[in-house]
Amino acid sequence: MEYGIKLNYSDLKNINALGEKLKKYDWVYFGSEFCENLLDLYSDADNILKKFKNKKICFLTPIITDRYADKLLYIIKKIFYTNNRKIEVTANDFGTINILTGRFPEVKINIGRHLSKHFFSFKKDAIKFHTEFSIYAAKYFKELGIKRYEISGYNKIPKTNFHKAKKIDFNITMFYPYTLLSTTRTCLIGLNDIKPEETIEKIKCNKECLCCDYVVKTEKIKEELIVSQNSTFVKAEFDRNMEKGLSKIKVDRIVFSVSP
Amino acid sequence: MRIVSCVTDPYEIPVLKKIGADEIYIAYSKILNYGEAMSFKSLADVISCVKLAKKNKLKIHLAANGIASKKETITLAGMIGDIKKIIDIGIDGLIVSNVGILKIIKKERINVNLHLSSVNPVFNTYALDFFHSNFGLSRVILPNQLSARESEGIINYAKEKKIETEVFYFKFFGCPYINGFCYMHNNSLYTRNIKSERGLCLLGKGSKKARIYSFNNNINPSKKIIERVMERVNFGGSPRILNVSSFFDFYSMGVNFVKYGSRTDSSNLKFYKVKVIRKAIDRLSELTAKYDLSEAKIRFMESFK
Repeated sequence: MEYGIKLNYSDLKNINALGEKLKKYDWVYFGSEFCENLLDLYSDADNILKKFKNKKICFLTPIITDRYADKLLYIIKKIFYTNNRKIEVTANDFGTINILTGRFPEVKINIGRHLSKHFFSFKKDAIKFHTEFSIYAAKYFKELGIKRYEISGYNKIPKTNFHKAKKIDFNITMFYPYTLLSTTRTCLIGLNDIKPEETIEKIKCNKECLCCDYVVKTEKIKEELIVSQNSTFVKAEFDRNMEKGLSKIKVDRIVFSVSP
Repeated sequence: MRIVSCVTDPYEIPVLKKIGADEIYIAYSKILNYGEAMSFKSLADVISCVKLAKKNKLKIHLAANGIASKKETITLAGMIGDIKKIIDIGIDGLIVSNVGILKIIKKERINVNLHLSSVNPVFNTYALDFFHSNFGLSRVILPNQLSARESEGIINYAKEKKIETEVFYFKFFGCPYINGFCYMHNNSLYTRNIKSERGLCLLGKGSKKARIYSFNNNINPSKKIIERVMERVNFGGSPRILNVSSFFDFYSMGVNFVKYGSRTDSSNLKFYKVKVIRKAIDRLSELTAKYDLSEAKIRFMESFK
């Protein structure tokens, strides 16, 4: 089992606070997993990398529009050459996959938590390929060199239907303890209201989400929701004791998220 | 700009034609379709619809854009067999989202026009290129979370590659969460205290408002942001991008089709909505013929105040 830690931008600013704890992680995940408006923060990704000299690196990328495609390419190029061409990139957009397979064929691409929903359905106690077509899609992606899927965490070993895909070689990275529910391009936090007659050239992000995340308590459900950047999560308990069983469901890497 | 309307009863077809629909689409229960609502249960119904569409000179497409299914009886071989049968009957296009289905259609050289559904949304030109280069598209349905100006590159690419473009009508489809990837409604990952069909995007509707707190104990966000998050969490999420302004821009940029796709609407409601869309497009046509674009846009938007 490999161990990773996901660091948001504010975590990266306070890296010293992690201190010795960082040693136990093989992988550092950083980047903007869900929101393209925060990609700017990682323009100096090469400097960020210097803080993690002995770690394996995975750069997280979100859904992108044309506006940020060049920025994304710029950042990936920096990381790629700074880190001696050894990086993984998590893609949550088919456009990103197209860019990477075309221009950086050496980069290992992972299917991120948002895009994994195209392949898998998630329940509290199960993760399954949606249909035989999803398995066929995974087979096609394997031909493209993509065989790692990222998912959110569980508090016990989930049921799967992976036996139906035994001919496909794939692996799973499990992020914990925040389970992704939904993502939006216009976030709940850092964006002014849009008037009906307003011409939208681009999303005018105020980056107010960097201040903090929000806990939502509602009588409708047992769990608390967490609104972070442009996504909504629930917190899942993650029992480290179930690690041994995770390999049976193709999980060979678990990633702890310091914040959602 | 032409109108594509959903159909859930064959009798709707001639009425929709009369009202102003230019194309229609249907769903069949044996073909994976998004939402699975109001799908025709028998092949005989599908054949009826195709015949009626041809008689009324309407193009007809089949929704095959499901990603998940509650039915475990739908198999890969079975569904592909059914798709082939329906293509032989004379369907004009297949609305698809699943990469696996696209791949099989290509592998088996099934000859049909492919429309990329908004359930697999394309937010940038590279994504459209991925699907078109690998699978060959006839049409792309743009997601409603992308404005017209943001879509310019996609629309230009589509024009260059002769891919038709389609958008939703701004008044009838406004979810801000990414279509096809949202778990705010399906109860799978949380435990309901109160039984409700409403999604978690409307926490304040029908119950006490949800309360918002800072996740980070030592940070106090501004009152303005707390109120903003509170309002959005309780009453329908974040701002809508597909507004009247964006719809005008899509029209002026030459987007080919506007879709109306609420299959759960009653027939009468469908007729009403298609009439509304037809009226809007006729108004756009009239205004853009008479005035320059900026004047036409102002006048069009005024009609909705």
